[in-house]
Amino acid sequence: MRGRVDQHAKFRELLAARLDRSLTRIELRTLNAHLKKCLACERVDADYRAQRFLLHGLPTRIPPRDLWARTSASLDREVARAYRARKWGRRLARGRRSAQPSTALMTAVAIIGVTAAIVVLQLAPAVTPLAGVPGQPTPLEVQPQSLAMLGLGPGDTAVYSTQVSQVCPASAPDCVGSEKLVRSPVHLPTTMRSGNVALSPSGDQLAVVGHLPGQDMIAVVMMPPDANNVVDPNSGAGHSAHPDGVQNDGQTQAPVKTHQPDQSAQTAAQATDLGSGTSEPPASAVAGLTVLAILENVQSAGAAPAWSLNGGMLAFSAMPDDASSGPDVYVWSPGDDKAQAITTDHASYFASWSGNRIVVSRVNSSGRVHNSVIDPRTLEERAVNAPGLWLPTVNDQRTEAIGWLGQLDTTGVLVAPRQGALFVMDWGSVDPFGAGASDQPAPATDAPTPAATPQASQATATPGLTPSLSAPPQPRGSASPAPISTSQSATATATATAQLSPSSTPTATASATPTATDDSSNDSSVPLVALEPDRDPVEAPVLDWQVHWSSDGLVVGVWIADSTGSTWGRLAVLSVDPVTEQVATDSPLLAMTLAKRGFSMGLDRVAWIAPSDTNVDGELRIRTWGSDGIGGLRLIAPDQEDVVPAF
Amino acid sequence: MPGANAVTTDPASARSFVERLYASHHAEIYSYLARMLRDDELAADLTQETFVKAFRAFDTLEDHNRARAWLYKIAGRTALDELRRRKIVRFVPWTGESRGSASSAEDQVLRLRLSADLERALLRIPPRQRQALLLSELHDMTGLELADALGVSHVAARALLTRGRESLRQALAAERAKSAIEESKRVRATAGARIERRDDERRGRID
Repeated sequence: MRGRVDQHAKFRELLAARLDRSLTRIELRTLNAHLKKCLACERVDADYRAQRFLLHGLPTRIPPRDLWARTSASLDREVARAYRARKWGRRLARGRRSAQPSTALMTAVAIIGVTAAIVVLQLAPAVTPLAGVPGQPTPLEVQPQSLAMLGLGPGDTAVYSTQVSQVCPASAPDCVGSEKLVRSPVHLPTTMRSGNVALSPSGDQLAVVGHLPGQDMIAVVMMPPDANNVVDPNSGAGHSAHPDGVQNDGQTQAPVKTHQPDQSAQTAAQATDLGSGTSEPPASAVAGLTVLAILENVQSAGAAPAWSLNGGMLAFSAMPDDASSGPDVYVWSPGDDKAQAITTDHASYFASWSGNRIVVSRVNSSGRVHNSVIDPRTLEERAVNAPGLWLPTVNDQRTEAIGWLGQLDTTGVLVAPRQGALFVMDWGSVDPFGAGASDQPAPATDAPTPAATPQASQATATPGLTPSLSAPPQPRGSASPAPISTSQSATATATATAQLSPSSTPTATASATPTATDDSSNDSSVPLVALEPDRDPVEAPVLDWQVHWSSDGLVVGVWIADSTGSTWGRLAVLSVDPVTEQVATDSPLLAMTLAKRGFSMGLDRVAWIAPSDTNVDGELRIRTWGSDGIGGLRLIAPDQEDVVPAF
Repeated sequence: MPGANAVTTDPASARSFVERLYASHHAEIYSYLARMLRDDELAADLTQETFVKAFRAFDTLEDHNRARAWLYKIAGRTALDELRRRKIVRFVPWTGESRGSASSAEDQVLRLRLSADLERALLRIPPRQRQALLLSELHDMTGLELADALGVSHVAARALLTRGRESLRQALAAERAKSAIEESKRVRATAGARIERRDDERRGRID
């Protein structure tokens, strides 16, 4: 039977051909005549033109930086192989000339070969091939590690957890994993958007910074004890709601407790629960994981919340949502109802943990950044005698730190980076609680320095904040870092300049901090190394970033947003040379890649949200590294608008 | 085309020549492979393989002025071999290195979404047609060079191109329809949740 002939096919061919060659006069005449009376073909013509436009608009693909290194190494091997082959070729040729094999020898070799083949064929069925799925790469075993994800979407908020124990090899590092996720509903305000999350080392608690309209909430979600409800993430099924507020695992729900930040230098001991400030019903009203709102009605500030090395304490900084005062550093321990402030100066920014002590960044009245380390148990505070990196992130081994150096904008209550870049510092040599450190108390932070010349016009921008230049030294072991509290007057200068010895970072320093001079209070002998030597801190300043170290301190993940507050930025994962302790920027474990805010580092892995074709909110990616090489995984993330991973 | 065991007779000259080829063409070869396979990591591996194969096949290159098309031919065959070997169509988004690009990460993500339909559609059309389209539209190949790179006659190359345009038109229409359905589902879900939340809040106020 003959099929129907598409009368328009030949015209579509002409339309397509017209884009690549000149049509003949007859073809052109025929086509134009047809187009006049055929709307469908006219549409096809438009489609072809649009298609060409779209093709030309496809994003440029930039080869990875290590491509030449890899190719060159392969070529070297090929060259060596070629020379070897030539050498053997000559020997064989000489051999052939000197000794032609006899017919008897050839026959013997043939008989041996045939016999061997028969033996192999008979034995072959006994050899069972390794089980494998055709087309699927053999997975790499990696050390199992818990991964939690907070998923926020309209009307549905849940925590997902899974164990990552297998990944795909380097040949297919982005294959889709089949890991099942344990879904546990969690009652958080439905209008909340996630900021940062941090899973405690034990995996028992998940700290969450949630953004609500006009304010932030810091909460701790008590994680499910085990993966007892494995579900397909796409099924939407999870823990079923129980009418009396009892979780699937039998835990009774605790209500959401609320706490407002102190508005007037309230000390930890004085902190009081001011009652619920949220319109959301308490967690006890619905089934789900226990949520403890440890601080509400605030704006988060400084670095993302983080757990101490032993997991016994969470630290972060925040300020009142009405910006009536600047930020303080808060801590929370399991068992506490609410977070407690450990600073009262309203000018303290949580930077990171240094072991089980807290690194705090501040700006003094002369506009200089200085860091202190506070022991949260004794509140003993010691100054860091080193270049004033803003918000240094220290690794667990307390050997290295990555922080920001440049000009800060201090016109508002919150200090904000204006122009600068990230630098690596040898933290081991400046850790005031480290081995060999002198018991040095935190100094008066408002001591004038030669370079501290606040601009008069800007100094008046924050009336009422009088610099206190005669603040007494901070006594060691003091429960209250009182002298620092007066350094809110740091905002008297509009531009704070972090200090750096120009010789240590010639390029970045010169452009990032043109007004920087040596500060006698800082140890300029401590070298700083630019994390991105190619970055021009003036043209392309780093303004919003996140740094996380792996728990062994040998790998660091750095995420940089293009502008402050961007959802998307670029993530790179870099290794640290264990001998030189230098960050190797030229051979990244993960080359700079697009990633959503909020990535997480594990022992030998990183998790991030990457752009996805099928989900506008992105998809979860995991990259691992180790003795077996690079591995990776794509996880079918839960269908939530906002997913933040945490190892 | 050279096999895995082909050995060039003059390794030093071959190496030097391939280095020059790499300097001039590696970015476009990588780009071509990344678009063919839609997998950046795999594209990097195959780019490396392409230049290694070019080294092995150095003796077969008769006219050095046509080295570009020759290189594309090797790259194209390498890509087709890989597709045949793995029999996969992987929908992996581009997350390649983005340094040096002037646009912001947000812009890049947006552009990714816009071009996602087209890239998925490209993967749906037969690989030979995809090769022809990419080489013609994005790598500025016409006439003999295109035929050389595809390893076919001039007429056959033109036919592949014409068929490729029509295949892509149909595939793109299908992808767009799919995306529209998914988007409308998402919008409905979001709107439903909002209404539900508003009702809950109203009920809460009444209580």
